[in-house]
Formats: sequence, structure tokens, C-alpha cells
Amino acid sequence: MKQYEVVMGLEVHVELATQSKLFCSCSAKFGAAANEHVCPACAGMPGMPAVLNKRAVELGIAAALVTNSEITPVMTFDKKNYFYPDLPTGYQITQINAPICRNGRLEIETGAGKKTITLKQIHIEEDAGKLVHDARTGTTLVDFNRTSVPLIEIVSNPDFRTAEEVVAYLEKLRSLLSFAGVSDCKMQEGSMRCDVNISVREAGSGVLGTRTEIKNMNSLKAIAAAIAFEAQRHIDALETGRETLVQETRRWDDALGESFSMREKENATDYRYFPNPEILPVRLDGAWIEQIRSALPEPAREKFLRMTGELGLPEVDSRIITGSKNLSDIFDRTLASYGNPREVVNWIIVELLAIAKGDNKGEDDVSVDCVKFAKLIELVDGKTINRSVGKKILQKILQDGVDPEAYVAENNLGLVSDTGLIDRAVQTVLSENEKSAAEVRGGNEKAVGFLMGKLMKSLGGKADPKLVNERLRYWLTGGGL
Amino acid sequence: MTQPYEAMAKLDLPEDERRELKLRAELFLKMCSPLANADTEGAEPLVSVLDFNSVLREDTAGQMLAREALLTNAPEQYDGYFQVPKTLD
Amino acid sequence: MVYLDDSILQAGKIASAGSKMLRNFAAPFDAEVVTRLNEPCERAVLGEFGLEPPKSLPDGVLLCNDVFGHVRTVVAERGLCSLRPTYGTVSRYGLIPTACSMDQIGVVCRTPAEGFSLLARIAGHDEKDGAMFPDARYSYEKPAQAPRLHREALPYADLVEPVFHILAYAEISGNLSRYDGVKFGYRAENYKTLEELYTKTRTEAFGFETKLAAVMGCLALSQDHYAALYDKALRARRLIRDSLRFDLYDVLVLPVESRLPVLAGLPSLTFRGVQLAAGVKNEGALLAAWEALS
Repeated sequence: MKQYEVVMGLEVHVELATQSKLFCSCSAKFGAAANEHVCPACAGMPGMPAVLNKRAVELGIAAALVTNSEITPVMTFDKKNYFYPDLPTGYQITQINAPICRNGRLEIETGAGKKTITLKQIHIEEDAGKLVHDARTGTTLVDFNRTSVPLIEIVSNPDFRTAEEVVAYLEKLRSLLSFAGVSDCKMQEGSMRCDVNISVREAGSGVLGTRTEIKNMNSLKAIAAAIAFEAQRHIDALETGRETLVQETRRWDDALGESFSMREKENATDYRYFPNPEILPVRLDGAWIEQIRSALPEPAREKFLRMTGELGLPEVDSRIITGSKNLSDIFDRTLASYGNPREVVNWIIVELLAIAKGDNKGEDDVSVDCVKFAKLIELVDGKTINRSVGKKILQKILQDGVDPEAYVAENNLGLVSDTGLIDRAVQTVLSENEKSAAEVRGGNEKAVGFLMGKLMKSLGGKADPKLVNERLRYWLTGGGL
Repeated sequence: MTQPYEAMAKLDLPEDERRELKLRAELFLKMCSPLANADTEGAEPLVSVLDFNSVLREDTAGQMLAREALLTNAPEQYDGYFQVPKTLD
Repeated sequence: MVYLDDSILQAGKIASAGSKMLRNFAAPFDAEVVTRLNEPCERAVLGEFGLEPPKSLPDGVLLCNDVFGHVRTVVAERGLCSLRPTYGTVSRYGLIPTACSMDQIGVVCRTPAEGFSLLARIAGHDEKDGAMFPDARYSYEKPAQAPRLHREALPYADLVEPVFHILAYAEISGNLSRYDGVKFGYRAENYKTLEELYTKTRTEAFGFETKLAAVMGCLALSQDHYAALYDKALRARRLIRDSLRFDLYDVLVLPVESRLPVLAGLPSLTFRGVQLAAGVKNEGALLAAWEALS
């Protein structure tokens, strides 16, 4: 039985988190109705020169820095020419001769241990529009909202050998780039897309096999499935000779679980690349790069180390928070208003995420007014209200944006911590529930819960359970007699 | 001889134009022959005659045109989209 | 009356650039030069994308983008002046592009003074065009000294024609790709597939010279020819440009047909059978030379 080695290289397209497009001032935001974010330039009409977006360059530099890449001192742009309805000008402005950076590297970790993945280059380019097939009319509909949205394309060397490595790399890229503010890297929204170049060879061979490119995988799961399918297709072809492998681009169909060849014509296009004279060379000088480097937000790994080290937080919790840029931001902003890291982390992970789940939101979509959230945590931690009241108020903050202090005051939810009041309640409940009281004295802990329930209810649910429990046990054991 | 380049330019010339094009292409290539003999080693490409670097645009978004204005010129449109024959992928 | 080349946009008016492809294209905004002129203008249809001679010239001052020089040739015959400013001094915002590295709006006028006076109103930096000098305005003052004229042949003179054509055709072919019948402009009537839509639209709506430019441009940029044609032409352009010695002379006296000023982005003044070119941003020297030669 021959042993085969699967060799893969990745091309990852990431949409940059700019307000406007790469060469015009149209909004780059996701989700608008068709052709709402379009102007004559990105609709292919003549007369508007391309003017480069400064923030796109800055985010490109940030991406170069977090991938340890060598930044090109003077970068230029080129035209890639072909005809397709999602390309209104008939050319894509991209970088061929002098991309923003080269030779980056990043470290991934899989079950097999640590590995360094090297990058060939990163270049800045325009995104294309979106095509929608309309079954009713049998035509294709074109939306230019996404046309000219700034992208970086991250091209790796063929360093990957397993799907697990590919997934680890994509998760690492997502962490690095989202924490650096470069992109929100949401595969489901298309702000991060991955094409896989794959070939198979006999183990030990120094020569690469025929390479195919697979596109159209919209999730990490689909990428893993596509790699498994395509690798097997290559192996079958090599073993049986029933199919001949051809260097081509193939489309992954997730529903059918298969890859399909795209038309030969697409594979044979001469793109007639040439330098774009409209966009003058961009000097990326040391001072500008240093300015961007010093303004980079804290990366996930550093934040994890600081949370577990300096802040003394548990690893599990720290991993959850640093697994999402959104959660990290909520953590930072909330902690800035109330400086108790343990409580803040606890409230985010236990309470906030639970509520978000109920609303079908994940770590990346949940949002909360962090100042109000911090205030709420402070009220509970300071024993002004109890936790179960706090949970309800959190719901109110998320739904109606209530101010927690005002809400507590208006609804008289303040924690009952008057010992005298609690003692009177305890005595009333004990005298009304002698049977249960006797059971507790006899060693039945379950009855404590029953009595506690009665007590909390009689105190309007606003008492500190810890204190109530203390007073209950005090009186059950004779009350200081 | 010019056919692959016609296809690249998405053109399909009638016979008389194609004959004329072929003649003009031959003239064009002949006119280019001094360049073939020229020694351009060591000269960097001059893409723009402007010798300075790019001035970049601030990242602010604006709406230049309403969708209706944009679609006014569209030869075929449907429900806010531009419309073309079905593409194959 | 100021006339505008039909490739300069005025909001709501047809800008056809002389082509059937754009005969129904209503421009969505005003060109920067139109905004700065701030007066009513008429429109004049010239050759398709500047690739053919104009059938006629209007009777008044004309703003136009004359890359191939067909307007300049007619101007010289008619005893008019054609004044083309330094590349990068007049905004291309609202100009239908042909060869981006050479496109520049100039003036056809009766006297240079008339032309300079108009240029002074429209020239100057515009942030909406990324390939411009930073100067906010230009005054086109005549220099104090008399200009030194240079009439002798220049080095690399035999390379100017091939380099100009290769670069101009290549860039124009890239800028013609947007005309595909999808978003605006002409659309063929009989097509079944996307491929037919593109090919029929472009074949039917472009004139011969435009089709020639597109095809020659694709040839020059193709994998087979890029190194020998396009890349070499870019390098030769540097040799040509660097061979100019505006430290030794102020004004070149050239034939009307010469493509050197357009290729090198120099300001030029054409009249009565001669073309004068000056150094970058030295338009004043042209006025002085014109006076000396008239």
C-alpha cells in the first residue's frame, strides 16, 4: 500500500475593516440592499479616477506586522484584465509587481504539536461584486455593493500537510487579524474566504504532484470536507488511473459533498497584467510603520498571558474571552469601568453569553452597553442587589437599555440586608413550618432549600441569600442559646 | 493571427474589418521594430511621468448617487439589480 | 462660447466620446473643469475616443483631451492654436479616460493668451484625481529671459512612435473593457449568452480605430508579447524622458505630428505647422517662444 503526502497552499482573502471602498468613497459596510453602496466609479462608469484609501493601506501594514512579514518600501498597483459581470470596469486593481509585504510566518498548534507556516506574500486588491442567479427569469442579477471593497490576499507557501493544520492556521489568522482591527474575519459574511491549492505525491517524493485549486468553501467544516474529498480524488486518480488529474480550478459543492471542474476557458485566461499609471507608488516609510505598530491593539496571545498572569484569571475563562475580539473588547471596556476582573469575566461568560445564546447570538455578535454592565456588576458585587435580581436587570439593559442604578431605585430592588428584618422573617417562617425545621435539625439538608425558598419569597426576593442562610442556620441551631 | 487578441478584447470582426485589422497589425508591428533593436537594459520602467508618491484619501464614506440615478442608464435591470444572461458558475 | 469635448462630463447631458457605444450615456456628474469654469458650455463631438480626426471643429474655444494628436493636426491646418498643459496640472475628474498616463485636458483657441487665460481658471490640484501635482493654481507667467529654442533631432527620436503607440493602445484597451452592455450604454439586441452579449455589443458599437486600439493593446499586453513590447516600451519611455535636457534649452521645436510631449507629459503649443514643447510646468516659456516665432 503506497503512502501519500498531501501538500497544500492557501490563498485567504480578507475584507479590510474600512468605512469606505478601496478607490472610491462608497460605504464598505456589509448588508445593504442591492446597489445601494455604488457610485459611477465602482459601477464601471467612465470619468472617476481611482484614489487610494489611506486606512486600507494602514490596515494592510497592520496585517504585515502581525504576520511578521517584510514590508515593501515602495508598493505599486497593477491591473488584472478579464471580462465577467461582477467586474464592472473589466479589470481588477491588484498588486503583482510590488505587493505590500512578503515572507511572513506564523505559528500554529495542532494535535501533532507546533508548526511554522510561511507566507509568500500579502497583497491589497479590490473585491468583486456579487452575482445572484434568478431561476424565475433564467438570468443572472448583478449587485455592485461589494465591488472595490478593500481586500488583502494572504498567500501561503505550500506548507500544509493536513486539514487540521489548515483549520488551525485559519483560526490563528482570524485571531491575529481581528485582534489587530484589520478585519472582523466572519466567514459566514464573506469577510474571510479561503481557496485551497492541493496536490498529492508519494511520500518521500521531492516532486510536487498535479495541483488543483478548490474554491467556494464557506465554513471551516466545508474546508475540511473539501480537502478530504479532493485529496482522496487525487489519490484515487494516481492509484487507479481512471481519472486524469488536470491543473484546474474546481468548485466545492457543500450540499453534494463533491468538487466540480470549472469551465476550461476560465483556466486558460491571459490576464494581461500591467502597472496602473493612475495610482502613483506608495511609500511605506519606517516612521509610518512604527506609528501603526505602536497603535496596534493587544494581540490575543498577549492578552491571554496577561489575564492568566497579572490578573490571575483561570485559563479556561481567559481562553474563552481571548477567543473572540468582540468578547475581549467587552471585557476591556467593562473592566475599565469596574476593576474586578474575576467578576467581569464571570458575568460575561456565565450570564451575558447565556442570554445571547437565547437570542441566537454568538460571541462575535453579542453587544452590551459596557458602562451600564460594569455598574450592574458593581451593584451585585457591592451587595446592593442580589445576583438573581442582577440577572433580570441585565436582561433589561440588553432589551431596553435601562440604567441599572435608576432601575433599582425606581423598583425598590435594593438588597435587604437589615439583619433585624431578616431575623423576623426567619422566625415567622420557622414557626409556620415546624415540620421542615425539625427535618433540618434532624440532618435533612434538602429541607433547607425549601425553607430558603419560603424565606426569599417573603423577603421579596431581594435579600442576600448568603446572609439569609446564615441567619436561618443561626436560628435553627438554637439562636445563640 | 490577430484572432486570439480579438477574443481577448471580446470582439468578433466581420471579414472586411478583420482583413483591414490584420494589415494594420502588421504595420503596427513593423513600426515597433526600432524598439526591438533598442538597448533598454538598466532602464527602469517609467509607468507615470509624475515622479512623486501617491497622496492617499481619508477613509470617509458618503453616498454620491441614489440607486435610481445609477440604474437610470442600465440597459436591463430587475428589482434593483443589473441583469445579464445566466452565467455558468 | 466654450465648447466641451464630448468626453468631458456634464451632469444630465449625453457624453458620447464620439462613440455609438455611449450615444445614450447621460453623465451622472459634472467634470471638475466644468465646475471650475462655472459658465454655460456647448458640447462638441470629436473623433471616437480621440482615435480619429474630428469631422469638424466648433467655432469657439474648445476644451479637449487630444492624446493621439488628431485635433492638433486639424488645428495647425486651420491657423488655430492648441495648448496642452503639463500632465498632472488639470483634473481628470469627469474626463472619459483613454490612456491614463497621457490623458490631459487642453484648449483649442485662437491665440495662446486666450488659451492660457482659460487654463488658469481650470488648472490646479484636485484631490479627486490622484495623479496630479500639488500646486493649487498656475499663473503661466512669461519668463524674464528669452527662451532657448532647440530644433535639432533628439536622442531616441526613432523610439517615440513605437513607444507611444504601444503604451497608448495598451492603456486604452484596458479602459475600453468597461464598455460591455451591462451597466450603461449600447447593448446589442440579438444575443443568447453572456459571451454573445459582450462580443456583439462591442463589435457593433465600436468604430474600426477603437477596435484596432483594443486589439493591438491586448496584443502588446499578452503573455507572448509583454516583455518585447509593453515592458520594453516602459523602459524606453524612461530613456526618452531622461534624455531631455531642459537645463540646456527651454523649448523644443517639433513637427506637429510628434508624440513626444504627450508621451513625456510636457506642455505643448501647436500652431501653423509647428509644435513647441517646454519643460514640466514651464508653460510660460511656450508663450514667450510663440511670441518670438510669430
